[in-house]
Amino acid sequence: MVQFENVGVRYGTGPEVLSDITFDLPDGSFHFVTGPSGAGKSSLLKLMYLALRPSRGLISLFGRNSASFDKAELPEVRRQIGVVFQNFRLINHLSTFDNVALPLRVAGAAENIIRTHVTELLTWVGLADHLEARPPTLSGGQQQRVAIARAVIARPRLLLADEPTGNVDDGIAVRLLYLFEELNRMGTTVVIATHNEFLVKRFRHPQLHLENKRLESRSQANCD
Amino acid sequence: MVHRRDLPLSKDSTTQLVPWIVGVMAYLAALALAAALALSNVANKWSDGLEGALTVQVPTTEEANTDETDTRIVAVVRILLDTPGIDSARPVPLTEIGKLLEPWLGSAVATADLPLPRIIDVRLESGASVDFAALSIRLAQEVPGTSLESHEKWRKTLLLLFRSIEAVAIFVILLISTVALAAVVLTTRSVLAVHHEIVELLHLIGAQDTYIAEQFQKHAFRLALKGSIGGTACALATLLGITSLTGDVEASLLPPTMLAYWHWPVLAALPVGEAYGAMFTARITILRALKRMG
Repeated sequence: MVQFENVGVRYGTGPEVLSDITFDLPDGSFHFVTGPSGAGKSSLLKLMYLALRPSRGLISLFGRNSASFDKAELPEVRRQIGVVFQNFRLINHLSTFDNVALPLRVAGAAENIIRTHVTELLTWVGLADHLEARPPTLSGGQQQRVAIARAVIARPRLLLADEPTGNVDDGIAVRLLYLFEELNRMGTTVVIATHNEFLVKRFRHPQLHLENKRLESRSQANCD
Repeated sequence: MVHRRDLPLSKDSTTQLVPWIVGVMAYLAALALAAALALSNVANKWSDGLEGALTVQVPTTEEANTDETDTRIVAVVRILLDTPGIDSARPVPLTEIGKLLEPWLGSAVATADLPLPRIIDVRLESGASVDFAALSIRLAQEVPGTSLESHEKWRKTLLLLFRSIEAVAIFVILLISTVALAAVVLTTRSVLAVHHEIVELLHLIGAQDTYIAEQFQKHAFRLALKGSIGGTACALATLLGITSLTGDVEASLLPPTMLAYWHWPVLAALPVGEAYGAMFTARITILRALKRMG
């Protein structure tokens, strides 16, 4: 599903923020990306959702070299990737409903299907009473749940989440992890970058641990 | 198709001036177009009126009495009617000449007291070619002092003048359009810069460039339509005002109606054309910028 071979990343002419990253995430796997702040967790996810190009090395997504995707193909590839951004990146002038509906609308889904799926999912994450609320009126935890709902609404093949439980208490975090596991059971490959040791220990999925810009394998990760 | 508002374009302060800019440009463009259409109309009318016609002047002197003058006129008319290709030759009565001169000399002047040359209005057969040079020499020999004016030369000069002014008017319209479209390009770019983050997000969740461009182009269309309707309405009001004012002096210098009836719908359709122009400009600008963003 996702393969990295000797990938290195630098911003501009600065030093490498990630060096010699090599791993292979099989289809349907579930991984945590762990490591201290500044270790490059966000950069690693950006490489996976094609917001960042590697300075060197090779990245394969869905069985294809990511450098081979031409611009016209990118939207279709990105629709197969759901992303929960660290700072949520919700659109403030749109309602909760419209924010979550965005990936479906972008993909050209019918409005009646959008209405059913979005309402169902927002109910599941406990935001049924906030369908028309604008993000700035929601709490941090509620915004995080909207961001997660937007990432999973289109049933992506690959789900990438950057600190998706950073603003919620452990109870809600566990509930959200169950949602990710449910998606994983349905075939979605999940990668979650997190600081939350409690979740990592409780859910016992393999880790991609970043330390000093490099990858260290931990537990059951299929890493080099 | 549901109207997408993923980008808060309607609340954007950067676009508030666009309807005004487009409105002023539409006003100027409508006036320039009206000028071009009116000139074309006038040129065609004058040209049609003068085509196939010529004038012969028979000078009179103070000493010559009416009988002598009439004899000279009859001689000229006879020569003219003998010439192949000439359909008719009508001596213009003195009263009619007096009327033609009235705007300059006033009605009080007794034209009979003035040594006005007599004029013969000549019409050619349709498609006939007459050797004007030979005819002119023959007239001058038979009736000394007679001159022939075939209008053709100054008709061509006048047409050239009108066409040149028309070309300038069209050039002005092109300049105005270029400035208006440049304003649309600059505004679109600044709006894109303002909403860069949302555009990037839309890209990351799989939006095609055309999905994003559609929102910009619809917004540009609405803004431009609003401005150009206002501008064109003001221009039409100005033109109606001018038309009603010139109605009073039409008997003298100006042709009866400057604009033909079909010109008015053409002018009224301008806002739609301008709005579509703005829409396509915004679309091309956005698609190019998005292509660079990658």
